[in-house]
Amino acid sequence: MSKHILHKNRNGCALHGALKVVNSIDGFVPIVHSTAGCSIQSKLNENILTGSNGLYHRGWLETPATAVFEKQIVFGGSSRLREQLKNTVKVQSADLYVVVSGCAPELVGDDVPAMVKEGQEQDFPVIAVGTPGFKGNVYKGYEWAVKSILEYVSHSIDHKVQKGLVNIFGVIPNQDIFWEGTLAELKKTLAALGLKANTLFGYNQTKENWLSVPNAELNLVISPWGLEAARQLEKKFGTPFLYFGYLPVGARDTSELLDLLGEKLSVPKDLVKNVKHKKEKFLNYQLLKLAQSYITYDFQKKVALVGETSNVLGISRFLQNSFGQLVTTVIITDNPDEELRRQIQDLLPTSASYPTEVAYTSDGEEIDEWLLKAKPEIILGSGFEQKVADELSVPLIKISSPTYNKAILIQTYTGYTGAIELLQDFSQAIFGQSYVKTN
Amino acid sequence: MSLLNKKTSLIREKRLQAISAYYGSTELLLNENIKEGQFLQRVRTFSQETASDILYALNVVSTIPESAIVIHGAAGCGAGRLSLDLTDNNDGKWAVTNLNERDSIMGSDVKLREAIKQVYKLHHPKIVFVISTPIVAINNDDIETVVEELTDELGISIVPVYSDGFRSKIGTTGYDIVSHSIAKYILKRDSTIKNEAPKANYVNLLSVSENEADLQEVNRLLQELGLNTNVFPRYADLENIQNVKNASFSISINPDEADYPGKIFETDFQIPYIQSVLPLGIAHTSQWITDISIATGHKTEALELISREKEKLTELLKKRKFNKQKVFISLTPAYAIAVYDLLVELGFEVVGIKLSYIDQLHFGFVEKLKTERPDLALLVGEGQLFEEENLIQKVNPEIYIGGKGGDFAVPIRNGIPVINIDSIQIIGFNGVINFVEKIGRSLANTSFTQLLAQNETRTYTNGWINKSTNWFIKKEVK
Repeated sequence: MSKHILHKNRNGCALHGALKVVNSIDGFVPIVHSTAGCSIQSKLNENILTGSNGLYHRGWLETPATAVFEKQIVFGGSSRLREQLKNTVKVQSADLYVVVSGCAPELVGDDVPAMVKEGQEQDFPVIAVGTPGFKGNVYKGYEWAVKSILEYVSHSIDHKVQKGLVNIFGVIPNQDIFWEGTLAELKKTLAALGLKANTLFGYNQTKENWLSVPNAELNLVISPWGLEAARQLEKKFGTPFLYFGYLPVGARDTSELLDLLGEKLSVPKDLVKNVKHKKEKFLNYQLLKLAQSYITYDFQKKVALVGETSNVLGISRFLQNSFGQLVTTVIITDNPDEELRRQIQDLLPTSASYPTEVAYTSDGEEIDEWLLKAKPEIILGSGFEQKVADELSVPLIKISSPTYNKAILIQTYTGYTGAIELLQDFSQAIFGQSYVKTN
Repeated sequence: MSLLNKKTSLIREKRLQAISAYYGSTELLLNENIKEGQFLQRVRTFSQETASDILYALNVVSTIPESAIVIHGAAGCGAGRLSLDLTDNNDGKWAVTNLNERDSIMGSDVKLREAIKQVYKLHHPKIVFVISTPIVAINNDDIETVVEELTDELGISIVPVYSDGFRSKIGTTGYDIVSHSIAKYILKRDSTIKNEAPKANYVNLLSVSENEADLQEVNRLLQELGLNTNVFPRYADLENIQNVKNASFSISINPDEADYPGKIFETDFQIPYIQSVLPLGIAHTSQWITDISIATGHKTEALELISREKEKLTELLKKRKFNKQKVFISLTPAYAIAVYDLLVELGFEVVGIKLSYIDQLHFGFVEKLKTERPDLALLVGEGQLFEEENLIQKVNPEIYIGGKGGDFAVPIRNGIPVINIDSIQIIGFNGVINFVEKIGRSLANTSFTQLLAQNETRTYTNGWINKSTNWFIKKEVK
């Protein structure tokens, strides 16, 4: 298949990524400058497909939007945007308004920056991100929106490094289906070392959190999509960053993260050691409870994973390195660049007799083909993989978008505790399968 | 005059003088420009997001079996399509041409050709729908030539759907575009489709957005009249589409949505269109059955059916007593009109009506309201929840009835129990029972509704809530 055409594409566009960013910060209000429907495409995707139904204090039809129509396509939509900006502040108050512009204004050449500058001159807190879908996907949209917000908040700031403050970049709200649970878990994990995580998205995260970004002692990057932000902050404020690159799942990787953080932020060695010991002991205790079932029901499977780099890599490493699984297929759907792909290859554990095949694609037909050929015995992927799972008569655990039929309020497979959650879901999937087979 | 000679359907604003922005009295609405037979166009100087014709079009074509879809645009234009994979018949047979910056400048016909060929090779569909999007429409990329060539080369029906996201403010235009395209590119072009003499008792059932449960109820009623149905365009396979020409009548369920296919079949294929009300509620369902029976010559069966069903309902409804509770309706026009009448019949007091748009087809209703309830103002707009919030805080309803793509954030925030009509089978006589039952249940336990209303987060400024609802709705400057 040509790599240009995308079959059953699971990812939205840059405008959707930017909306996911802005909608996950309390007090930030997006203003969509595009044709009607653009933001609805995004909402349809995330409300139904990542399990959450959005924030009900802002419904899924409540985003200010210019909805430019024919006249504004022909004669330009800048004045429509000016009017919309002027009136938005009267209707929906915000700490920051973020104009996200789509394909149509980009094609007809609307001067969005000029309109935003006008607003700023009138002391409206407003910025713009150009997010035409033909220039990038949902992950790029995250990158661009975060970059613009950081530029804004760090514009005139008197920064002072705050000991132990760590910003977390790279978890994409409402695209990573576990985003809020993952951020909460990382926050808890860091807190155990006496560190303060600045998660920036989700519950109670406001402009204040973003204003304190330059004060961080370290930026922790857990997916390729947080790298740009980390580099930007290193350049501007000299903040060092730790590129972990994936989500730590289970004792091995989470402890490694703690070691690295401890080292970089001079956490007392004893404290790191004690925290690790306590957490590992608890996790091992839980693992032990599963040991009999593991053997009785033959938990060891050929595993395939489908999803974005951070979750897929993290979960693969835990399953292969700590849970005795044979990870034979890894399909990465967020399109990391060549250099990152080489790193990913190095980070993927494998066994010589059951080597891991890695593919990079978000094309649903290609993914189906890969899976049908690889014949895994369990799939961890999106709801899109249900059909193949049924065809192969193997269980599916949902770890990526789109999920379908799964409400996720707060859940994660990250960290020490997340691993327990993963094992419970893994067991349920295997038991479900055994039940089907024996009945 | 053939409607199908045109590339695509006229937008609703032009064809039916539809308007999408108004708040005020029914009297003012009727007095404005009534002589020319149209409502006055207005624009919003502040607006919130709405769905486009593209999403409406996708919603219908996704139900057509043995078809594949090529969304011709940037990758994100397929994001909304993902949600339809839950309910569709299309079985995930879709692709997006994934246009990038270069394509947006140099043109995209090569990718379109490639995409159609790929979905053909992968899925062997009988029909391929090509959904146009803003980039393609703005650049005026040539879809027609690709369609012509590949129709010959592949020997299947390729149907271009000229949606664009910016010509019309009324999403329903997307439904019209789909009917137009199917009629033009399959029914009209394919000369092998036999034009038999119309079969007696064989009717086109025009269904655009009904769910399967509602369709079942409609079919049950029509069977009682002795009619066999051919459903179009929702869920229609190629055979259903081809059979359109053999029907002796076309029948509407939702008169707003059926209007366009009904008129095309009448003007281009001489199939009489029986326009009636939406069969929702006792009076409207009876009216619908009567209208159909008169045209098709089944008056006796209809009278018997109506009296039998009414008797059943009267017994059931006796047990339910509603005490003039205040209701707010937020629906598409045909549903709002039918639900209004049903609520009045059941003894509720309607304190507010929001319609997603109104057009020529709704003059009668506006006139009726003017007489019956001169105090009741109308809000017209799709989405635009800021206006809904403003109005609801002024009229204080006790029940909110919505659905048909609506958002329930406003009643949730305000602690008002919600009846989502999409969650029940509401059409026909059986629908009345379900509706009454649902209202009864919702009022029986409102603990979750009350809990949610305790939330402190504010969405709108006090300044806005205290303004008049139509503050941002202005007469269009030409």
